Amino acid sequence: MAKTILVVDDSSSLRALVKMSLSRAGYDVLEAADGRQALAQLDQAAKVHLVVSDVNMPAMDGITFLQEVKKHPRHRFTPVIMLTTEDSGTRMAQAKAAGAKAWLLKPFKPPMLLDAVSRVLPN
Amino acid sequence: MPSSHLSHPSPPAVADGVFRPRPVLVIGLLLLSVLAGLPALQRVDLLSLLAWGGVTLVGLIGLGFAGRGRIEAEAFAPHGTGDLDTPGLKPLLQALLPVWRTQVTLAREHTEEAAGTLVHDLSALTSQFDAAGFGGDAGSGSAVGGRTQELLGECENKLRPVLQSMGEIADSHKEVAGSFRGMMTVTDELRGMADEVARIAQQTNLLAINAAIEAARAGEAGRGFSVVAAEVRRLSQDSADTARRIAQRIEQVTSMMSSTSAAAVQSAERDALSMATTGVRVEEVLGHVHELGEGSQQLIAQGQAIRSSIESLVVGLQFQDRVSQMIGAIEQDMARLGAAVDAGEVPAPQSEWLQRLEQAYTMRDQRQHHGRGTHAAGRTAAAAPQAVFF
Repeated sequence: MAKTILVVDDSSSLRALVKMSLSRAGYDVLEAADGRQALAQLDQAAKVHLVVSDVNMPAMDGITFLQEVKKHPRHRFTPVIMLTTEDSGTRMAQAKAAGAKAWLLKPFKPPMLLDAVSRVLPN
Repeated sequence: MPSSHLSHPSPPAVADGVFRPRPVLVIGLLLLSVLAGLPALQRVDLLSLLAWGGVTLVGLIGLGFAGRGRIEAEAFAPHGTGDLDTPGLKPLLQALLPVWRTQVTLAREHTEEAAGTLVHDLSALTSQFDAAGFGGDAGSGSAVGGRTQELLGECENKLRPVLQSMGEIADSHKEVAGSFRGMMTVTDELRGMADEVARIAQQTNLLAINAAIEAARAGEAGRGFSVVAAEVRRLSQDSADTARRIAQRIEQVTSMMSSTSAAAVQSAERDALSMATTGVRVEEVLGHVHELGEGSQQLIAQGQAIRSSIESLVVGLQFQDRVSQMIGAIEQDMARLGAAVDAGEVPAPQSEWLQRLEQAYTMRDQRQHHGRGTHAAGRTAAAAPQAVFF
C-alpha cells in the first residue's frame, strides 16, 4: 500500500513539482497551500505518513505549522521535512528545535528529495 | 530642518568609476521587461518564459544595485526623520508607488501562472513517459528497455538450438544414405554368391550325368551307383532352383532398396534445401534480434537522457518560487514605503529601513545583492548545505 505524503507550499507550481517527483516514486500525495490548510488536511486524512513543508507561507508559516503538528493528537509523531529557499541558520535551528527531521534547500533535485523521504519515512 | 533621504539629490550615475543606475531608470527597465514579456507569456513556452524571467531578474537585480548605489551615497548623509519637503514629490510617489506595486504583482502572478502551465505540461509529459514504460530512476534501465532486452536474450537462446538441431538432422540424413550404400554392397555380394551356387549346381549336375553313364557301362554292378548318381543329379537341380530363387529375391531386394535409397536421397536433398533456407531465415531473425537489442540499448540510453532532462527541468522550473520570494520582498517594501509616504514622512535612520528589508530576505542571493557591507560578507560566506538531517 502506497504511503501518503502531505506537501505544504504556497507556490502551486512548486507543489506540482514535488507532487510529480513523489508520485513517480509511488507515493500518494496530498496538497495544502499553507499551514492552516495543512492542519485541516491532517484533521481529515485517515493516515499521513510524512509531511514536506515550506517555511515562508502566508496564513501560517512552516515553523508555526510544525509546532502545531507536534501538538496534534494523531499526528504528533508524523515526521516533517522542511523544504525551503530559506538558508538562514536561525530558522533552521527553530525547525530543529520544533522537531523537524530534515531541512532541504530549494531548488531541490528529485533524487535528493526522494533520498530524504526514504530516510525519514518510518518503515 | 533635518533632511530626508528622499530629499537628497540623487547620486551620480557614474561615481568613482562605478556605474550606478538611478532607481527610476531600473524600475522603468523592470516594468518595461514585464510589459514586453506579456505577449511571450501568452505563448507559454519555456524559452520565452526564461528569457522574460531573465530580463525581469536583471531589472530586479538592477533595482538592488541601484539601492546599493543609494546606500553608498547615504553613507555620507546625515540620518534622521524628515518630511517629504521636495515640492510635488509626495503626490508623485503616492501616484507612482501603487502603479509600481500593481505592475510588480502582475509580473509575479504572470510568472506563477506561466510556471504553473509549464509544470502541468511537464507533469503530463512525464506521465506519458512513465506510461510508455520508461519510468524508474536514472541509474537503472527503463522497465520496457529491460524487458525488451530480456525477451531478446530469450529469443536468441531459443533460436540458437534450432540451428544446431537442423545441423544434426542433416548429419543423420547423410548417415542413412551411407547405410543404404553399404546395404547395396552387401546385396551385390549376395548376388555373386547366388551365381556361384548356380554354377556349382550345374557342375554337380554334369558330374551326376557322367556318373550315371559310367554306372550304365558297369552293368549290374553299377546299378546301385546309378541310383546314387540320379539322386545327386536331382539334388543339383534342386540347388540350381534354390540359387535361382535366391537371385530373384536379391533382385527384388535390390530393386526395393534402390527405389528406397533414391527416395531417401531425394528427401535428404529436399530437407537439405529446406534446412538451408530455414537456416538463412533463422540467421536473419537472429540478425534482427541483435538489431533490436542494439535499438533497445539506445532506447534505454535515450530514456536515461530524458529522465535526466526531466530532473533538470524540475530544478529549472523552481525559478518561479525564487523569483516570487524576491518580488514578494520588494512588494512588501513598496507597501511599507507607500504607507510612510501617506503618513507624510519617511522613518529614519535609513539604515534601519534597509536592515528591515534585509531581514525580509530568505535567500543568500538576496542578501548578497542587498548592500555593500553584507554583499562583501555574502561573497565570502560558504553556501548552505542542500540537505541537513536532524
